[in-house]
Amino acid sequence: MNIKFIKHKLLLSRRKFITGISLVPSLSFLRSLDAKEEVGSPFRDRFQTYRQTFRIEPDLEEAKRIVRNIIKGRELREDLILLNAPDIAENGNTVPINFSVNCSMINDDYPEVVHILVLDNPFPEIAKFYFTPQSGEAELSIRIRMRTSSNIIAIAEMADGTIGQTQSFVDVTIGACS
Amino acid sequence: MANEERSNWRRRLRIPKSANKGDVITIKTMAEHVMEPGVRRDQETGVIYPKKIIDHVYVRFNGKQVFKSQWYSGVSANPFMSFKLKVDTSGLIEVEWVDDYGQSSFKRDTIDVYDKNGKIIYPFEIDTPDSKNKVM
Repeated sequence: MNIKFIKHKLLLSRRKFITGISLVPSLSFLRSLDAKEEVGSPFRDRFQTYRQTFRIEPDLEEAKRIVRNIIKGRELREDLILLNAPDIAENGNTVPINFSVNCSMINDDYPEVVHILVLDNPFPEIAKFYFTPQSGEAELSIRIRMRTSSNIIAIAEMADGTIGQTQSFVDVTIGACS
Repeated sequence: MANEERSNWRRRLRIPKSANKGDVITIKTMAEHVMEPGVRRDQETGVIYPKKIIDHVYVRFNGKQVFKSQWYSGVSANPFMSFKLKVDTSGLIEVEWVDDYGQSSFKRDTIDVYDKNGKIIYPFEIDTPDSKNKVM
């Protein structure tokens, strides 16, 4: 038998391959248009990473957009994360909070990131915590700054893609100047 | 307050000295730091204090990173944080704080972990005459 005449069946023909390549940039362009509305990280979110030395006023809509960026339209799981914060905080400079996530830290059932946000702060993002299965319980306590009395939001992003959120209102008598 | 020059900023790390295998221990950390948010003004001169915060905290157990956190200007001054860690072998716990300016400082401590019989578990295998026979 002559080896020359054996034809291998290709998964992609040359024509399909070329048309596919030509379609890729147009599709990515569409995606970037969509991102401007919902998925793209907002100005304030990116601004936090730079050293900034001037005053900025709190903006509730911007804060809500940051929260939307994290959730990205996923369904919220109930009773996933439990947030303990005081009802009344005398000093806004140190507000002690602690949270714990309901999960067995086995395989995929652990929180990859936990976000803490305060909506009425000029910079709503406060901290991100990256857990691993080796940290036996996803429980943490920290002290934060609050400018005025507002909601604290805690969002847990699990390793399997699910997400949960809680919030609690804290009344602050003397606010921090952050 | 912000311009005050000090070199002896303390870092604190508190862990239990010993634990049983599989225990979940709490680690308490505290760093003395001004955590300047970059929006505060001097009352007399009106000059804004430049931003200076701790933005990353890394935790390593026996050289492997087990926990990481990213902070922004909303964390209070002299930040305190406590969290959990599951220990199976005794070893070295290392906490590293990294500054906005790239300055890093760390604190470390060791923990001894015992099994049911009260024998210490090392993070490495120790060669004995018996173990050499098994390999051969």
